[in-house]
Amino acid sequence: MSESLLGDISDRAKSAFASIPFPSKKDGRWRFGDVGAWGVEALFPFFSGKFENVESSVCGKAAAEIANGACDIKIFDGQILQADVPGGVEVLPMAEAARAYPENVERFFDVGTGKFDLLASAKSEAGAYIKIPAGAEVELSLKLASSLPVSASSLIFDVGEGASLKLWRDCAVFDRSFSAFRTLWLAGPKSRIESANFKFSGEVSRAYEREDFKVSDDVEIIDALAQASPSHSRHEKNFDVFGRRASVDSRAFFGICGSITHDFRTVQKHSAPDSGSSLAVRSAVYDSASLAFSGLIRVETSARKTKSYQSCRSLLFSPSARAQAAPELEIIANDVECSHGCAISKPDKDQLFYMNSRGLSESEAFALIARGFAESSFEKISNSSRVEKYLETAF
Amino acid sequence: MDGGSDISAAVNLDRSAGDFKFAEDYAYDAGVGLNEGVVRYISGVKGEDPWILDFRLKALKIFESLKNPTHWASKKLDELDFSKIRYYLAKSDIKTRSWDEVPDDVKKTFERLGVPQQERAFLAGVEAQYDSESAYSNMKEHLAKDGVIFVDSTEGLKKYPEIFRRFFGKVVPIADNKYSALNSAVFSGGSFIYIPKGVKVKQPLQAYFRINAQNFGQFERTLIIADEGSEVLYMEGCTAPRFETETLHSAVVELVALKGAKIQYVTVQNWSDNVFNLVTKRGIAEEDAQIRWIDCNIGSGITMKYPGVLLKGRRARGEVISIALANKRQHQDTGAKMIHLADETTSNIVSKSVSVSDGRTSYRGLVYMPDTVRDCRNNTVCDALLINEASRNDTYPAISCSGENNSVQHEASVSKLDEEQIFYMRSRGIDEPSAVSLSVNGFINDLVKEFPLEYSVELRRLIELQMEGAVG
Repeated sequence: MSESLLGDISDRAKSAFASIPFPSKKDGRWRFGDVGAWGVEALFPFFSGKFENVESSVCGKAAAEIANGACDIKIFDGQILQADVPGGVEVLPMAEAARAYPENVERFFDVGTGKFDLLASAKSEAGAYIKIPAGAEVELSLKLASSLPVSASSLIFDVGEGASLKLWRDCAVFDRSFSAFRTLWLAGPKSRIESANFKFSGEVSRAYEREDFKVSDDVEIIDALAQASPSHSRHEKNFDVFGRRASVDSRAFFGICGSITHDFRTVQKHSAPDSGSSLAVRSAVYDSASLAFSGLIRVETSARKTKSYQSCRSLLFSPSARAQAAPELEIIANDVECSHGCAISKPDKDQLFYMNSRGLSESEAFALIARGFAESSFEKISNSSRVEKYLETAF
Repeated sequence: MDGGSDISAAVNLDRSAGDFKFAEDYAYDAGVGLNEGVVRYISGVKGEDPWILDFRLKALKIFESLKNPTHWASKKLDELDFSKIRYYLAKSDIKTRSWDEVPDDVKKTFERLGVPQQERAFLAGVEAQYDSESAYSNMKEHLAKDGVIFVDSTEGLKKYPEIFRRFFGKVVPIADNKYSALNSAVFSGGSFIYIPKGVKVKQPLQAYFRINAQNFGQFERTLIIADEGSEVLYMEGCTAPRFETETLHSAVVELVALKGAKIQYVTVQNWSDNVFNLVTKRGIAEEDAQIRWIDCNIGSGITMKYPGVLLKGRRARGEVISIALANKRQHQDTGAKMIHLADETTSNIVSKSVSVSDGRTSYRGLVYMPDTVRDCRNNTVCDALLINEASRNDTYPAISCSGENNSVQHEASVSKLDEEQIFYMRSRGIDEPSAVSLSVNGFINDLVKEFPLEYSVELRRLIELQMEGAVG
């Protein structure tokens, strides 16, 4: 049954992928994005596997090094290479998960209907199902790597009632690879999830990722994402808060350089009362790179007493750097508190003068400012030593 | 705070002030529907020069080729049946120059608008439009002496083409959107104003409008040119009676502030709730110039209006102050656009929205700073109040910032009325509807103060009517 389930999913996805057009400027969810970088011509080398005169980049080598480090779970190109996990935690290949948890697997693949979501669905057997039993307290480190020209990987985290999961995740996209990652977080009632996700990619790569969080009653989610990206990438995060008294704190930091566009799209959807969510996005944009961000907070009629916030702050480190933001609110319940804010500017000249006058060069001062800007994104991650190590590597 | 009948009653708009109509007896009537014949008819009645007819005909073709923007805008626009609308009606072709010469039924209209007798003496250059044609024009002597031109669109293009043609259709091109194309094809009435260099017009220039025919649309075209160093404040406020079928108001307003000039454009819109109010407003500000849009939208069934400023010259400044109130079945879809095209330009957008009953307010904004400009600043603040359970608010800003030392700040918040505030007032003997009214007035107070005195009084009265229920 699992084979036919996954087989059906793959067949449907392949057919749908062929019929859905590539992104265009008229597509609201790609507003400000560089649709050319995600079109047929730009992606042809990945789909054909033919790259002419492409050397491995420094970032690509760094991504490979990170991917090969020690961890509890290692998934390369959708294949589980390693799974040293505490007792009670299950790490299942997708085929086994389709037998054990068919509803959840089907639910996961039904959600994604965008062009690049369907890439992951087309390789439905690639990925893993990670089950955290009810009441367990687990810490895990996970490395996810993409090395194939078109590499799809799906992850389902099924966190049982009252369980706690602290996850440290490194995602590496090698040069000459187009990765399509999809993750589903099923947060059972009263569970707690702390997720730190660090992404690295090579200069000649494309990274697409979509995360969906299903948030039930009394759930707490602490989520931090950091990405240093010299190549076009797109990340979508969707929080479906259907439980009461749930709390979501999601933060993201992007260091964007070169002449690429980094795309970040979020949805905070509230359909139950007494819950809250907070999204904070920070970016440091260099060279002639661009951030394209859109974030929707939608509060349905039933979601009274919702508190939902969103902020997007960007520092532009060069005159050609660009930040584009479309923070949106759709509020249909009246007894709520919702707000958003957006600020874009260059680094404060007084701060720069202070550091210059103490012997720091402009690039050193920029690095310090960017690091300070990034640090708040990881405030709530409990493994502070690991955060410190990441910041030292990144800056 | 619930949506109980007391609160709903308190916030129902009193439409009786605009809810009347007169028997129709129009001298010029282009018939129902839109085609080349109608456009030629309008141009012929006005005795326009051939270039204007060509402009209209080109606009008609573009209008017919463009789709309704329902992929992002309200699907309600598809309810508009352009074939059932009358595009031109004129009471008479002769302008009158004093109130005594105005026909009785038109005078009655202004009486019902509530323009006090003593206020009329203070009004300078009032251009009153009645069903697409100027029925009344009055310019004080000192305005004429200073070389200020204040006429309607027909007279402006006919008598002063050397002044107005240069900018006509340039700030808002025909193909900007479907409704600017429609206006460009069938425009009539509106105000064409030219302020000479250095002239600072002390008294506000005003206009009033009426829509008074079933299936009749209002397509006024306004063009204000403030020459170097000049200043002008223009005010418009309009109302319309209720009809069973839709009524369309699709205006275009173009402002041009040359070097060092300042234009303030104030609108209080109170159309009845069967009106589609689809307006394109845009200004160009040259070096050291300022354009300020001060906009209040209380009426109409659906309003779509996004006043914008192209900041074309160094140190130019653009500002939009917007109040929107949406009551039962209303949708106020408003916003602002600021395009920074020169160095050291600044812009400020402040928007306050109130949604009552099942009303919906939406803010759509655009702030654009490319990497070819530097040292520019924008600040945007949008606040919204939701009064009842079924009320809705949306905020859709779009921000693009690049370039040396440019910065943008945007913030928005949505909430309901502060329960502690309401409790405080009720515990001091104020009934709930009045407490709500006071609270809402407090919410918008900072912006109401930005309106000229002539309008802030009327505006508070209009808001109170919304919040306090029936008059008296």
